[in-house]
Amino acid sequence: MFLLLSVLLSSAQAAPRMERSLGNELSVEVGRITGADDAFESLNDDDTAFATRGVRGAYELSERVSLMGSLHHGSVGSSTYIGATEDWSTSDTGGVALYLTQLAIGPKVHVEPARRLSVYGTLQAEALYGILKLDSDIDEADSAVEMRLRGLAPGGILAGGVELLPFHAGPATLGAHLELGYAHAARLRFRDPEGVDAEDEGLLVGDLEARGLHVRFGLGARF
Amino acid sequence: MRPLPLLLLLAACNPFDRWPDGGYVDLPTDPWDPNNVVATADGSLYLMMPGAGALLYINPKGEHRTVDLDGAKPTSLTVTPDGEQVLVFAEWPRCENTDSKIETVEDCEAENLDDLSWVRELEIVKDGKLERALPIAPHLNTVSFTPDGTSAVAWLDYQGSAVEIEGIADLTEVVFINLSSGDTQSISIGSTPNQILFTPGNERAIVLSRSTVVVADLEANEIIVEYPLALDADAEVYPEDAVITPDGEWLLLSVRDSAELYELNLSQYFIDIEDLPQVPSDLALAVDESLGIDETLILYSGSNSVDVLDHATYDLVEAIPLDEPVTEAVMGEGFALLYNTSSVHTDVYRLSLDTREVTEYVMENPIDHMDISPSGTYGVGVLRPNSEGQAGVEGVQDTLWGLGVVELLDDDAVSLVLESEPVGLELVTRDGVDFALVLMAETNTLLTVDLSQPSEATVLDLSAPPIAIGALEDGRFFITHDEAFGLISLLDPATGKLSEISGFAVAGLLPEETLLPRRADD
Repeated sequence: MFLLLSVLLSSAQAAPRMERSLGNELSVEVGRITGADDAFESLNDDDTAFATRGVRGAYELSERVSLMGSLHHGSVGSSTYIGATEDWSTSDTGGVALYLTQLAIGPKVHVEPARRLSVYGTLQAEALYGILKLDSDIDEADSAVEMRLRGLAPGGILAGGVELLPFHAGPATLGAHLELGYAHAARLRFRDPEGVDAEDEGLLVGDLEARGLHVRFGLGARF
Repeated sequence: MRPLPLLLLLAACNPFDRWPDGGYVDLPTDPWDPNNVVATADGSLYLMMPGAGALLYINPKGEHRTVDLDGAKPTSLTVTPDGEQVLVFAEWPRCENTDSKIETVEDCEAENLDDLSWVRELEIVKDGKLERALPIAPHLNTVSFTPDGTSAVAWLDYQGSAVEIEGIADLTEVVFINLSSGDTQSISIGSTPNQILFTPGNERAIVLSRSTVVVADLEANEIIVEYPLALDADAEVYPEDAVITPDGEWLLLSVRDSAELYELNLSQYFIDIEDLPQVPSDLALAVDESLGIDETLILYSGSNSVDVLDHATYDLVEAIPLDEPVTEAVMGEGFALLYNTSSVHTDVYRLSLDTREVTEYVMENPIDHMDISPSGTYGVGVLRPNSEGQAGVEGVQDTLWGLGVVELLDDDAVSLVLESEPVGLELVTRDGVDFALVLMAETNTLLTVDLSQPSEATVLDLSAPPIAIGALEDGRFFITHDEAFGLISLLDPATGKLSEISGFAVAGLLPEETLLPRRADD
């Protein structure tokens, strides 16, 4: 990524200064969602964060302000040995996986400290929609137990980023962006709707809190 | 839409159905315990969920919910004999540090490990709800019930494992519990109990312990009489097997390594000792009012005979000769099925209680255990592999688990071989025909064996390997499976149809901190 940024910066220096208006945007992105509690360790053996992919769009409201939105999706999961036995060969092997969709929208304010270079800040509201999949045997197409539990959590993102827009391609300008910040969402609670707990709610399978470093990198076009 | 943005959008897609490759994760706690599922009279099921620290209640419609135990985690459970209530040993975390910032078990442990303790309770649960929580000493791990299910006795059944002590404890105490009022009364027996029996009228509990037998009144919750089993205080006498005569007048007791039968009179409070020819292996009541039989059979592992003790005289009246010694007896109507569980004997005997006629059957392999079909027509046993293998087909049979079927009205017996070790055997009658339901380890099948034609079994496919089978009051059976997220099959033997309850054991699957349910001053 550092090499790519260096190339883009070199291109930005060499390109003629663009106008202040950045226009509308559509980009593809990769990102990272950070899990903030130990429950994520049930989903991945060595990391509580996982990668996402998605799209980002921005609609120009004024010269320096856009309304930006993004839709990201990522998944994390594992083969899971379940049971107290120390002999893994006799443990049940199931699977637990989280499929997370992140929708974020909010204003983006940018400035241009150099030609082809834009620096921006954004504060966005986000909604996390998670599907927790439980499968008693991930190698079998028709497992005895397959469940999908759903959870929804609101949150917010505070982030800043840089955009490099070195290339013209017809009516569009191609560029890249890197965004860093902090994301904080409420706990995603996954309940089994078939069961009832002591408070007459669905049985709580677990909850996950996505909170921490927010990272996005994308390639896209202005038009 | 322009082609470029569309391509970019497609490139960002991520299929939901692809399983993420996050490596291998170990969830060390079992989400549920398929070996410890109990059924109540109304057809409800209760099971423990160690991962979530919860007790799960499954009603007859298959709907499931956790039972609110006020933050206590179940450690074992048992159903009362009348099937109305479930008794649950449970424990809840208590933190001595009352700082309001300490909200979880983990907080308390982090502050000071010694501040955290687990308080034991005995919970009485009915219809999926906690009726009563009784404080109980942590070392008490077993309950015995009166046959009518109105009273219980909690006691320490010492099995050689570590005993949990908090502060000071009397390991010889037993706690009498009135299950309807919840009243408890603790009594010190004097030595560690090893068996508790109840008189036929549910009025007295008889506690057997080392060198002592104590009789307690269940109404007054007090000791009525204490029988010393040895005159010398240094002598140690360990009770082995005991029966109470149907009139409740006598307790017959065999003791370890002794050829003496203790006859304790429960109304006049005296002991007679009957000399036996051998050290007995089992005592079995042989009672049939229609035949006028009221006796005890005394079995010996070292003698080819069975002694009969008459309850009129309390004397040995007859020694019935057999070809081989027997160690176990299963009682049928007017007869006893006798067998030996050692690895060298394979004989089964049908002993007629009135004529004393003995019919001998020979199994191919040693017998693990036997039972009698509901109609009393067949004896069915699980046969163990024989360590002393023979050559040929007999040698093959020797290495396999088997099912032995004895036609009790005839002289026929057949020894079948099974694919793997049976984990469950139930005998049922359907349309006047006796069947054996056989579950085998690590196979997804249920065998239904017509005992009149045992070689022809019907195979029913199961979704997962079975763990255990149990009976419901309405004649159906429940089968628990080796399925981490929970799977129980319900079998209606009348129709042969199976239905399933699955996915109930997912609560608490993702670990989280344990909230302190009650404060230390609760």
